[in-house]
Amino acid sequence: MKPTPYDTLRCDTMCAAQDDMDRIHEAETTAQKQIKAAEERSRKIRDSADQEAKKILEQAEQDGKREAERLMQSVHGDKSKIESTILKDTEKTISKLEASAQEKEKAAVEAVVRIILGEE
Amino acid sequence: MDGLEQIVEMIQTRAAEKEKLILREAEKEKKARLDAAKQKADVIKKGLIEKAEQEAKAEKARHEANTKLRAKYRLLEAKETLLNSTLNTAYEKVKAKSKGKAYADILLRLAVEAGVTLGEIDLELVLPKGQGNIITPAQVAAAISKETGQKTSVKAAKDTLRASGGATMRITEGSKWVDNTFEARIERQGNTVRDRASEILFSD
Repeated sequence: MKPTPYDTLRCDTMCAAQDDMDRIHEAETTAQKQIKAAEERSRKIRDSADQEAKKILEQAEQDGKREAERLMQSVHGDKSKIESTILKDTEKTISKLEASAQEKEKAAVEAVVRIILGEE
Repeated sequence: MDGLEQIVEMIQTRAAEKEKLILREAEKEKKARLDAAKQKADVIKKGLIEKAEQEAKAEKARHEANTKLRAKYRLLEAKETLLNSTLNTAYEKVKAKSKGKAYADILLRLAVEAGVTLGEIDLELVLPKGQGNIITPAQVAAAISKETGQKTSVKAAKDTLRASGGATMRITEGSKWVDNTFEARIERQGNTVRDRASEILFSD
């Protein structure tokens, strides 16, 4: 049976509607893919942030420990200086003491002799 | 633009906006995490350094205190050496007195002091070996009697002392005595002479 003009028109209309729906569906699919890709990129951005943060903390720990080690090593030098200064001063004091005691020894000996012999 | 195009454009526009929002949020969160990490890193680093600085300071302070203590002992040791040397010289001089001209006076004084300390009236005089002729018991008795106001008798003991000088006085039975030999006096007066010698040697 030969299609009527009405039949042709009805078919054209139906096909156009289907095409429109296909087009919309395609746009939505593309949009979903676009959003999904964005979410994946977002996840990668967060992951890289975590790794970078971890590196920052590790670096800080290393830097801090290195500086701490340097400080403790410098203590050795400081300790030597402290010791040298104090002991040097002590030897100077002792030398003065010995010189002074030498001058006073005679008087001290005589005083002791007097005490022992009951003269004082 | 027809309706379909409008719909498609709307879908595309919304997708683009959503994409931008998602990425913007992610970047924002990244920045916040990194800022927080940097702050924490500063705190960690400062904390480690401060702790090390405190330890270093404490270590230096401990070392300084120890060194000062060692120095103090070194000084005391030096003083002790000087003092002992002086005392030894003095003791040798004391012992040498027994050979000198004034020894008779010294011996008499020490014997009388011992006798007076005993507080008895019948005494024995004991002298170092070889020194029996330097003073007599009568001299000692007279001097003690004069000092105490009590008539005192003194006899010479038959035994002798192992001493460089000085005398021992004892009561006749021998149960009480006063040892006034040089050696006994050095021992008895040990602290007194150390203090006196120290005072003279190390005064300013």
